[in-house]
Amino acid sequence: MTHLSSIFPKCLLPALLLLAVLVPVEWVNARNPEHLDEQYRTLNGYLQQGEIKQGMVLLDLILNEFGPTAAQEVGPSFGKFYYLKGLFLLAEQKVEKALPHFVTCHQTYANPPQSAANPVVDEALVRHIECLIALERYGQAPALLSRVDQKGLEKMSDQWAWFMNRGLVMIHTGKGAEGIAYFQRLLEDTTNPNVTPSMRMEVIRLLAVEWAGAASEQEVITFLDVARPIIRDATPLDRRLSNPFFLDAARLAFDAQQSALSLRWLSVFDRAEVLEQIKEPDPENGRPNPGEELLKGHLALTATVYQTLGNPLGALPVLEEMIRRYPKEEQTPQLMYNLAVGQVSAGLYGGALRTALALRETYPDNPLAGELESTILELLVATGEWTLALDVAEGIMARGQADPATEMAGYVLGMNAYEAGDYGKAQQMFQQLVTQGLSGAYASHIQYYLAATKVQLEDWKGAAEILEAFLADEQKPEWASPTLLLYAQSLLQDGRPLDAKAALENLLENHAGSAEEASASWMLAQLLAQTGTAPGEVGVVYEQALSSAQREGDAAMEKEALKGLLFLAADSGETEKASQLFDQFFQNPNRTVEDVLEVMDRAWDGLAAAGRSGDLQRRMEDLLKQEGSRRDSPRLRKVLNSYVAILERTPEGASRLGAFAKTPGLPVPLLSSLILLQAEALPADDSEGRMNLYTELDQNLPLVQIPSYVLIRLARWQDEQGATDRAATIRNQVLETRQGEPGFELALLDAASVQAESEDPQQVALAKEWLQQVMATTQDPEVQEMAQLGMARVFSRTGEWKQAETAWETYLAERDWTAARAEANFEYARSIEEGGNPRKALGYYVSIYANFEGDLDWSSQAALRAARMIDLQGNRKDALLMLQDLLRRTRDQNHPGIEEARQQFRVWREEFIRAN
Amino acid sequence: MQTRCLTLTTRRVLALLVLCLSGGVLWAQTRGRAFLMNDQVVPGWILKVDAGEVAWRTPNGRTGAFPLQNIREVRLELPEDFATALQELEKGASQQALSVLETYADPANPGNYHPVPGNLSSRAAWYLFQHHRAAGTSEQAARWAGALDLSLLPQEGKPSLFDLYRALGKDPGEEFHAEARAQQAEAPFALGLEIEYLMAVAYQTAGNLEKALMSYARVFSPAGGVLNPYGAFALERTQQILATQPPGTLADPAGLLQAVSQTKELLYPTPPESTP
Repeated sequence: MTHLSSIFPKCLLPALLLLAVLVPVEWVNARNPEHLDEQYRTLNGYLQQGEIKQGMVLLDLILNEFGPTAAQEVGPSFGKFYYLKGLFLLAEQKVEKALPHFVTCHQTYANPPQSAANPVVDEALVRHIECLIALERYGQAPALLSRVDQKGLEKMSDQWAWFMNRGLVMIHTGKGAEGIAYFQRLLEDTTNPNVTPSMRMEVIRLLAVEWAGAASEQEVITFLDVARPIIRDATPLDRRLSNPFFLDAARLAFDAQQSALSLRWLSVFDRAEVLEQIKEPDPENGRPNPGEELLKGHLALTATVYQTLGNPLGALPVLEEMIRRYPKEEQTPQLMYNLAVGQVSAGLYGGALRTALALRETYPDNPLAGELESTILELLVATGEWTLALDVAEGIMARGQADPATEMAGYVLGMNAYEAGDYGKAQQMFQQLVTQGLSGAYASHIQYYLAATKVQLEDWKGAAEILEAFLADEQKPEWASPTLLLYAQSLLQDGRPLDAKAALENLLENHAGSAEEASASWMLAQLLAQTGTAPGEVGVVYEQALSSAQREGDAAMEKEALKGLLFLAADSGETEKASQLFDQFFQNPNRTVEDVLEVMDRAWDGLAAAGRSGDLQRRMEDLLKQEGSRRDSPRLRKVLNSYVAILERTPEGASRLGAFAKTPGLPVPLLSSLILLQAEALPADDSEGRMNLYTELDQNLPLVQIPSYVLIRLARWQDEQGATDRAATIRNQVLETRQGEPGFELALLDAASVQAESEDPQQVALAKEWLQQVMATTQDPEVQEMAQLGMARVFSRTGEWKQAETAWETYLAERDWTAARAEANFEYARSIEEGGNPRKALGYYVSIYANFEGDLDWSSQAALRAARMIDLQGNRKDALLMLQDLLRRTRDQNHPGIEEARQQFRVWREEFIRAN
Repeated sequence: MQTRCLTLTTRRVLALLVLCLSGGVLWAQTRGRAFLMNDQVVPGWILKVDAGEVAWRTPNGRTGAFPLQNIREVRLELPEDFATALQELEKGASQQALSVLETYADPANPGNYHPVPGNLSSRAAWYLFQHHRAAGTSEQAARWAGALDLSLLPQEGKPSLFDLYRALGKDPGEEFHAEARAQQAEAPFALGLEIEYLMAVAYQTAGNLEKALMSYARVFSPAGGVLNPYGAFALERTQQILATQPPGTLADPAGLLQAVSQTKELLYPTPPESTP
């Protein structure tokens, strides 16, 4: 786009008119060439006064009259009428029509050689060039420019405009570099006092539209470097005039996928001036203020450019402003959507939520509102912003619409409950969504986690049913593998090992290489081992679990697989292999103290056979040293128990314990525990040895560092020695000074169990009081269980059978309490029996015998009691059959309960034989 | 010090001066003119300000003291290092120039003649305020605004945003932001950008970096780099936050830093002459 004002500067026209007036011509009438001069002056008057129509009528009359023969009749001076015709047409903005008249003037009426130059002819040549530029016919201009140069005519045009035209022609005729250099020289030349800042700004505007679009990025950058200070120092009006050009240039650059260049152009846009422009009254009634459109275009482009450049921080304020300025525009909801998404991606969550809320409030029916909430929720979940995600989710759920946003919100709320361990709430949420019907992107997640929630709630059957249906549906492949694993787990727990095995085999066969392969292999190996599969076959599956875990970098599963292989090797006598696996296990970073204790317990024999017993004992002692400085650490007691257990398996165990206790520098908590262990291991009649050890404990070690459970036992020993005051002092060390400490409740529990063994009813009452205190205060489920167990045991011991029945029933009602299920069942039955309801108790005894067969302490007692009750009912034969069944099942077992049953059986059998 | 009363040529000056002779000048002196409340102008040298009086030496060598309340203003010739420091600042920031001005800004230094109107201390604080304001080091500008008593600069009216700068220096909270927003609503566009910048600085100072980032963005984003000096400062501070302490909520601080750095170069290109 070339602007006429650039080609024909406003100052030019009066100068031309003046020139025209100075030409001496005489005119008498239309046919008389001598009177043409008069007509020429008249025409000039019309032109000066803007009476274009009258002028044109007269001109047409003259040209029609003389036109064809004027050159001969009048001579070269007639050319000035063509020149005037061109000027009249230019005054009407008819450049295209004006051009041929200038051509006629300077070609048909060219100055003859050696004659005085007619300046109008040369003027026409210059105007011809300007018309060509205005019409963007740059190709014809260079030849004419050469003629101007040859004639030295450039002085006839306004210098500045002439230079601009010159530069434009160069730019458009393949001499871009020369042209721009020409312009830059113009811009940088500050010596010419006639060149105003406005004129420089005009050059900049011209270049912004005429050249920049086709120039290289570097050329534009260089140009802008020159232009920037000129723009900065320009008048507000000049900057206002330039704004549309700069915006056009920025748009052109953006359309050419030059976003960076586009932003450079935007950097010279004067926003303040547009805002001022908007404040002004409309230029013409009924027409919009041009500033409004300009601002709107600038904002839209700026936001887009920043977004394209990956700078949401730049885009957000612009979007904010667009929304604020144009709240009722059609695209505003989309802008709000873009703003909120940008805010989330820039981490401005508060702002994003406010935008989403505003969108919902302003455009409640716009689908973008729901979509935005869903998107924000998704982004919040993806970035781990759970707290904010929950707020959003609750807002969405509150509206109660059945759409993908609601589905996702429900998923978020359900998952939050799931992660917090509130499985009941999680199940309720997931179930509600499933019942409503799933359609969104989180359908698979919801189904899977509904089943997972049921697994957590031990609703194995429910979980298996959901997973079965889920597996039957077409689903994304990434869900098949975890679903199968969870399905297998549910089936296994639901008592369907064969189906579980099939599910695991399905997973391993069809989803080899999945993340679940290691877990599935491990679970299958466990299942195979339990169902009596040959160790070799089980080992292969464990190996598969091991290699999958190693491949996945799953150190936890690798450890489990190693343990499985280790136990397998130890049980099957592969001692060398067990030894190697043990070393490998010990290098696993995920190994816990509990894992070590489990391995020591289960693989001891195999490892001892490989000659590792000394090594294992040393490792246990190292572990004890690690744990031994924490006074009331439950873990220290666990490790000690395990250590004692392995020492009991070796002939030199007792001496090893003594030797270890003499190790210099042992921490007091560990040393005092070892002394207690030694004292309790002494034969009952070695009271002197016991005295020495307890005295050492009491007198050589600081009481404050001795673990509570050791002090409780030391106090009991002092009581037994009659030193009740000392006993009270020691006990109070725990009960009074350690209240509120982490291990206090456990110590109180310990003290209560020791106290409960007393024959003194007052002491027993104190034990009950302590147990109640523990139950009332502790938050630790394990301690709660032990307290309830202790209380039930006290009641059984004191023969308070009704209370005992209630206490054992309470224990059994808690399914998570598993420390003494067999004992609890037996004691519950015994409480019922002793409470006067043997018939009811008999059923329980039989059930205990059947369900806790391996737990000989209680199953043998249950069988004996059941048999005796049957016998009492006069049914000796059935009683004998019951004991016979027990003895057959436990043929090789050496257990006091079995021995008692054996003797009873013998007595009854002899009596039965004698009687029959 | 030996002193004796002098007789002055004009009665009016005599009424204002508590005249006395000085046996020798033991303190700094700065040439200037004292503009008195009665419109008299007394050329000479200021010697010291003490106990509500300004010791002054006239060109004929007499020494006396004006009561402080009788002085409208003193127009002192700037000491050479003071003047040099100002010239240096005009060319660009110079730590040495700032140090010189900060020394002069110390009102406790008797050589700065605080609190006589037009004293060197207040003038130095004024220049420091102006410099830091223009350089976008708004915390420093706030500091000097807080230290500055405008009544001691009679030739200057209260500059725009002066109170806001002062408030910025005093643990700016909700009240500051409310005032800033109120002023911004009435301000011309360019001044509005400066106010937004001050709010961003306040957020940054308070450790609210998310809001600071957004406010800085409102400064650099909407207005062209050519006409918006605060945009460059806002971009620099954004870069600094993203590089050293990006808010944890940002999804990709490194990517954002890269984009912001690019924006800085596009809106505020390094001048060609300073490119190696």
